[in-house]
Amino acid sequence: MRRFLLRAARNLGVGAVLLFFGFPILWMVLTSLKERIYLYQPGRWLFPPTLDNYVAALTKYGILDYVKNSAIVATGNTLLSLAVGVTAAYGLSRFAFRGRDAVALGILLTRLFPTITLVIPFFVLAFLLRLLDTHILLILIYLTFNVPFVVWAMRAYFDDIPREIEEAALVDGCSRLTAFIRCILPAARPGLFATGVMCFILAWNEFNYALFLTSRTAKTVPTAIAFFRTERGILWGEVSALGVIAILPVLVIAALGHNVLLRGFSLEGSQQ
Amino acid sequence: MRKSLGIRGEALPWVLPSTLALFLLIVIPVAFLLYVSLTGYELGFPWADRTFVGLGNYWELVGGSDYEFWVSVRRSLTYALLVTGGSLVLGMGVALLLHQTIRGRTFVTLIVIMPLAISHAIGGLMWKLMYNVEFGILNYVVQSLAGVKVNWLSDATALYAVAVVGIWMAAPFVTLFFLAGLQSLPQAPFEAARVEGASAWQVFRHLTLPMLRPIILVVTLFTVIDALRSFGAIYLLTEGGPGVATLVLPLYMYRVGFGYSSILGKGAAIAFVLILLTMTLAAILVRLSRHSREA
Repeated sequence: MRRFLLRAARNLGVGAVLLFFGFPILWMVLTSLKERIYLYQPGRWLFPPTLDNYVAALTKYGILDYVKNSAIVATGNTLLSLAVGVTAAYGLSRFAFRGRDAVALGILLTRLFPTITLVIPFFVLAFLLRLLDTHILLILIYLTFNVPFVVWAMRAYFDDIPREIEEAALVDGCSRLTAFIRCILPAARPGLFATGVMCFILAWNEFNYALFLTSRTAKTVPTAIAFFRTERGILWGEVSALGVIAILPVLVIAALGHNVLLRGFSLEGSQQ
Repeated sequence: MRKSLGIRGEALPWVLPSTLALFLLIVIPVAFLLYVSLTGYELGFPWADRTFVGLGNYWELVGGSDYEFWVSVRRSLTYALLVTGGSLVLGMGVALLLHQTIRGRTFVTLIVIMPLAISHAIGGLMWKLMYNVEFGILNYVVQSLAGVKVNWLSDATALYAVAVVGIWMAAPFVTLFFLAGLQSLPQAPFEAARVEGASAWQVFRHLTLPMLRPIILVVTLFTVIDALRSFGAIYLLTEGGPGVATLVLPLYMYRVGFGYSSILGKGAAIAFVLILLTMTLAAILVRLSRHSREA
């Protein structure tokens, strides 16, 4: 009896956890599939689903352009973050030098900085440099959070790759750089891929900088939500469709290989 | 000595690009932010027209003439307290649950971490749909149970409603942290306690909690800092309103710097105050954690 009660309580707990964390996502997906008349019947779980909201979001409100902008910024930033971060991760993993721990800690601590405060200097600097509302601006600024992530994730990864691999290459007369490119990078490919996926998600989701620093040509998906506030109120169906489009990459990644997400966010957590 | 310098020389080209990029993208902007906060620059005017006002913006904030500033400091601290307390308790509960052998643990963990993988703005949108007075699911439930409709984002309840969303976003991180902590604890004391017939609560209170103490302090530090800089979800849900009900410092910075008054110089001063506040709280928490480690 006691065991039965314990099991029941545990299942109840799991149910509550799933409801609290998962239901908001489900509710947005449901809302995006509702015709206007069904929006006003929240208790109705069975309704004929419609894709009208998606069609409206994509055609009337030009969401496709924002998807394109988000994809350009996230891809560009991921590649640049990897290029800049992976070398540092390798350096920190392989060379013992004075101040190494300080450098590693310094890179890590940048993640704790209240970055929302930087929208003002970035805004003025970008205004003066005529970079406002450009893809390259966001690609560069997103380095602030993705480079520390790459350094931390890849350093742990390189630590696990035996030194013998590149030492053999160095003995054979390869330069350090050649050994790195020919031997280390191929061995680290799974880690590079997982880290890249995480960088892409973090850049794709970024809201604060994009909100302040873009207006038309480089506007990204999350910031497009504001467009759906009309004089007659918010277009709930359409904006939900946009929300689903915004979380689509994450949903796809979660469905294909949830390990990337689980490990990635554990890492992101532990580095913070 | 010479050898270590030599190695350092070799490491330099590898480490330099990241360090330089982060220096240029964080240290320089912070210095520039400090400078902007000393000017009366207004949005939309030529940069050359700015006036240097010294500490004028700061005096205006703290001098008492600015009623909204102190309100927003209070809102920020209350919000951070609610989110930190809520997500620590919830995160601990979820971590304890996931630490047991339950069916579909990977799936449950995946659902729990979803808020981490979702843009804060989109998270805010999700909750805005649920909080909606007319067709939100929350009022549907409340109405069928109690027969009333609640205006969740009204003056009296908005800060709590926004804090629930903050907990939704922060608790997954806390959970992952505690879960890793639980998994790293030595097993022997727990087995000894079981042999001696300790209750689950006793085990938690006298074994788990003390052993997790260092982790709890670190998690608190990160959650507080993260709550203080929250912007996206609150912007989506209330834009700091109604009135000043959810006007935390980042939202106040937005209103002053980019909203109705567009005095970027003063907005910069608010931003700098937020940096100082964050650093002060971080220093206090770091000191606390040191104390507990020595004790």
